[in-house]
Amino acid sequence: MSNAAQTISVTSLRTTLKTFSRPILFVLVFVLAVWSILILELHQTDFSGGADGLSFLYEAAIPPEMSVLEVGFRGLLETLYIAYVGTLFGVLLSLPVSLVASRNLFPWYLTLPARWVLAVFRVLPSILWAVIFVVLIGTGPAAGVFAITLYTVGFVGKLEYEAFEGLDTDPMEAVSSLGATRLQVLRFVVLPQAINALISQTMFMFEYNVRHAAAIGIVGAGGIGYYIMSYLNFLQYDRVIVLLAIVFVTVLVIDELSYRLRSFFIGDTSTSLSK
Amino acid sequence: MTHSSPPVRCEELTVGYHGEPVLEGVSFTVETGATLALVGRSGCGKTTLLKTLAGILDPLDGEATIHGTRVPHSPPGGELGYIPQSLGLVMHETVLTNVLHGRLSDLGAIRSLLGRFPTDAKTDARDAIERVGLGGYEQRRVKELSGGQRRRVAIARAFVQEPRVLLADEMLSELDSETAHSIVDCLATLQAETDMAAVIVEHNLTVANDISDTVLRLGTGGIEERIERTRDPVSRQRHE
Repeated sequence: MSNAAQTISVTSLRTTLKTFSRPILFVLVFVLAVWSILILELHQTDFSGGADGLSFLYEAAIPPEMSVLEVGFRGLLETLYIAYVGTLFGVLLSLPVSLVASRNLFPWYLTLPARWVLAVFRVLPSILWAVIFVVLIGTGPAAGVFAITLYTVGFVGKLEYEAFEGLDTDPMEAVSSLGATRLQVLRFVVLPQAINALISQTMFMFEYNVRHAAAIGIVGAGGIGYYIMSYLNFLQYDRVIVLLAIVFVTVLVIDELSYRLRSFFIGDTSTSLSK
Repeated sequence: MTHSSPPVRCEELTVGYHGEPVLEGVSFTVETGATLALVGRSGCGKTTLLKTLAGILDPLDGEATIHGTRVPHSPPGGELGYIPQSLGLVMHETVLTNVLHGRLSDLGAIRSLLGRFPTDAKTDARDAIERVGLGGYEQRRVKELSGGQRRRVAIARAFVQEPRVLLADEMLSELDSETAHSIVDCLATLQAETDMAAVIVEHNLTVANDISDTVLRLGTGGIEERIERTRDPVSRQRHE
């Protein structure tokens, strides 16, 4: 076959693949979902006892026992400290690693190891990191802070390098050609361009960590989770529901705070659609 | 760095993407204080050539130098200014910060990390903003400005940087004639003050004729026509 004929056949193959790639992808997603449901036997789930369970939970939890508010707020404060310090350390540690992990900013021989580092921290969920740290340094909030920090590095680091890779490259190239060093391009172009995503991710992570800091209390890493677990052990659902409500309201407040913080840094983000 | 070399020199330069040539055998020089305009239909390789000169793309063949420094290596800090079609401004940042980017080559590592510019750089930046007609807009975010105002910010950045060579991609596109004239005036003033050489991509041949000393019309694969203007560059810079 001549070179020209080979080029044409390769081109036509690419065109055919492009034409059918979306329907094929759609079918694959659907088939994989059905396959997973069958493997997990979700279709055989027995919901018959659900109504009774709900009724039991309702009777056990209502009316809520408001006397645990003080305990709840004390636990929440500790959870917030754990989540705040863990998120702050995690984001600060993840930033340099995620910058180096960005394929549009550094060569592959640096991005690859940086991605491995982030992946290692992401392998275990924070609750398992908490178990490890409870074993290593004993029960208490310090184990919670270390667990949250490590997981934050892995999780938010991935979100960060994906945000950096999605940035408009023109400002980087323009400022670089003005004689700026790589450090200056990162400091004056990349970070300001990504600030919206970074704040959003940090606040998302903080909110996520508040919920997880509550959960890691269950394994002895401090916070409101410790109290939730204690009341669950004694089937005191009227107290558990109060503590869960405190966590829920806290998450809503953090969400609102996130929006206001972003508006402060990048100006009004409203559009005609949001009015 | 050899300043006896012409500001911009291309010798049998081939440019393109991923090994595929877009333009081949391009040769020209731009002398101090002169402007060369690249014209041609969309996709003919104007921007590719400009990006190659800016060191963003590697040349596929041949040689290009900026003040004697071979492309894609960068000439010493601040000598080359590049304004891409999208202007290369950081939209969330203020006008003042964007203009100060023209002085990054003067900034040490510690000041860079802290984001602290010296007072004289800030004074120069405020002067430049005033000169391009954006006085009072220093603290406005660039994303809140019109297209014409953003172009003025990019020129103010070049004013502050005072590059010896400016590469600008379609600076006048999508502008009304009044704004376009004021942008041309700003560029001419900058050139007159600094003896800067400029390579400008412009799709409008009439405008290209007005603002340049040499016009290169690019066609399929290379230079189709070279139009040398006889005008004295200095007299042109004094706002014909």
